[in-house]
Amino acid sequence: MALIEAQNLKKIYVNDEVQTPALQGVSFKIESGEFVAVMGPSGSGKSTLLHVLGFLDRHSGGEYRFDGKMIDDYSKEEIAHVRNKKMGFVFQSFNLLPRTTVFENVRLPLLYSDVPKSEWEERTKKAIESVGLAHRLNYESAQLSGGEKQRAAIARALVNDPQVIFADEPTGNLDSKSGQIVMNIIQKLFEEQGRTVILVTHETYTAEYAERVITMRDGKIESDKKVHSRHNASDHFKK
Amino acid sequence: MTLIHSFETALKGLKTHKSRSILTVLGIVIGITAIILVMSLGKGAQNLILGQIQNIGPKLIGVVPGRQPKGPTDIFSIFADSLKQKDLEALQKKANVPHADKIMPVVFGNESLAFGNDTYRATIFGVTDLFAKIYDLYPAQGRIFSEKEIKGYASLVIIGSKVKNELFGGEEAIDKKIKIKDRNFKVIGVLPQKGQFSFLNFDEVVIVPYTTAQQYIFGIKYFHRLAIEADEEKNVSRTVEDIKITLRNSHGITDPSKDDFFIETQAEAMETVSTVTNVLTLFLAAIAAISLLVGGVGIMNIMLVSVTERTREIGLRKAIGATERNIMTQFLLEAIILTVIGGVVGIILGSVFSFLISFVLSYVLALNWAFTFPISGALLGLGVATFVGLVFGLYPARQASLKSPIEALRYE
Repeated sequence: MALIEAQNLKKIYVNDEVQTPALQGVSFKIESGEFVAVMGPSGSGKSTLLHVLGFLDRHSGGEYRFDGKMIDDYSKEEIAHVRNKKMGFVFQSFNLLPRTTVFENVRLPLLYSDVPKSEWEERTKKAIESVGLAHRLNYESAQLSGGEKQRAAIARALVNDPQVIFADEPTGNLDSKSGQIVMNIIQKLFEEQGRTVILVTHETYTAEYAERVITMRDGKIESDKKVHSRHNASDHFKK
Repeated sequence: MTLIHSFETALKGLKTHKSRSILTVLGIVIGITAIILVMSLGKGAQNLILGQIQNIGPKLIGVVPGRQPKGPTDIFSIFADSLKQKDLEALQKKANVPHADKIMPVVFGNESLAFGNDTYRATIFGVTDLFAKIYDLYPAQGRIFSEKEIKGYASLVIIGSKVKNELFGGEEAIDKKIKIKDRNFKVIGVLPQKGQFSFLNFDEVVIVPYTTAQQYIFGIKYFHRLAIEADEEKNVSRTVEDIKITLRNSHGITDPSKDDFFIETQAEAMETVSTVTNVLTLFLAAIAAISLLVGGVGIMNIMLVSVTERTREIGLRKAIGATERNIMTQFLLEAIILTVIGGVVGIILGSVFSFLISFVLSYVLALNWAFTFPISGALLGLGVATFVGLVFGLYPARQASLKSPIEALRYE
């Protein structure tokens, strides 16, 4: 059974009677443990697809099964719970809380989880260590560089040990060096921790860190291919 | 998410926007301060007035002629001449009113006094020698008239300290003659300075035997009042009943609703005054409460701004697993924490201000004013503050909780 299964998935934005189709019927499956990049120019519907898959937005037609269950069968509470427990989000603009330390930002998902409080500190520190930010524990988000912010955001996505990581243009706001560090971490999530990673990007180069690339255009899937020569982010550091 | 964590999250949210939180709280602080101030000062004023009434003495009963005023049309009391000598005699019989210890008829009115070329208008107070005991008022100089002098319509006066100053200045007053209604009265005593006593200023009175006052000054055969003192405080209500029965017999009244007299006691007067001051205090507190309402609208306004401004934060929290309920609780708690902090600060400020005012009133103006901490006002204030937070926080909190996570995250 596929972790994610989309069947003729549609999304139409309605704004003042004007209908803007963003997804015009896309179908695919993503198995647990896959690293998939969704690529395409802006306006191709790739971000919309990620939001629908990540329960952040509702689809307007077609079928979407997550973990074998139709999305319409999830209650509001269950949706919040799935977002908290099974999904981790990494955004282009980091979305760290202002005037809040790295530790508190990373701990945030635990507040909404059923993880006992006694485990919070350890889990938070572990997640922060795994992205190499242990020395920035008590820094406020404004004191961090862009790359560090994104690493803190990844730690936040990881703290609840999710099955799937959704990354929406995670390197879009970063210089190439920081971008490589971030991609290295994301790749490790897949390679070493066996998590499913769904990455949205408009750069072919970034997409080729993944093992499979779905290319979108005008709300439809243009191609869905295996990557033959994957980039390995850690290569850059070996050089 | 437990309530404690919601609370911590809310507190953190407020700390992050410190100056705005403080300004928001200000409205509530002013409202609660005003309420506490009004209630504390109202209580102080009430105690002051009640203290004045207590001066009358708890054992004292006043019998007043006429029907008890029950409305504006009764102002010109009917049967104003209903208390006469035979009533006094009936009441003085031990068998009728066994617990009446002292019974004193009173007549009074304003008249001009003259000494040489000086004139002065004062209150003539026609009583018996019992007045000294009943009001605990003994002459500083001279003496009181005797029972015999009362019966003999003696033209003697005891004058208040201010009357003495006005007519005699620094000179000796005893044994001098003053003129009232063209009749000479000999000054036999001067009262000490006493100030306001209950509703009467004893510094401005001229005390004469009631017989003389009736006959030569007012030309009446009735009394304006009977002052009766019960032997013990616990016998007051019984004595009141005895007086009523005796007077009804004396006046041939069978239907109590047709009474041509009424009775005043300290307990009753205190009750009346308490009612009046309580109504006044509540009225003022209600006005102060309007400022709370304004404060509440301020909170709602700021919370709405806060919700809009923190749209991305809300979106993020939802994206990482916050339920609508979590978001709602967070913003509602923020509003309630703000108002409760405002309430507590308001209670402290209100208490400090009313203490300072009490201090000024009692030490600078020498009023017998005591500071009272309005516990009921404080509880009310806290309750109202929490309620305001709840009511005015609900709408913004609901708005926050209903935001779609992705729209919220996209918000710039």
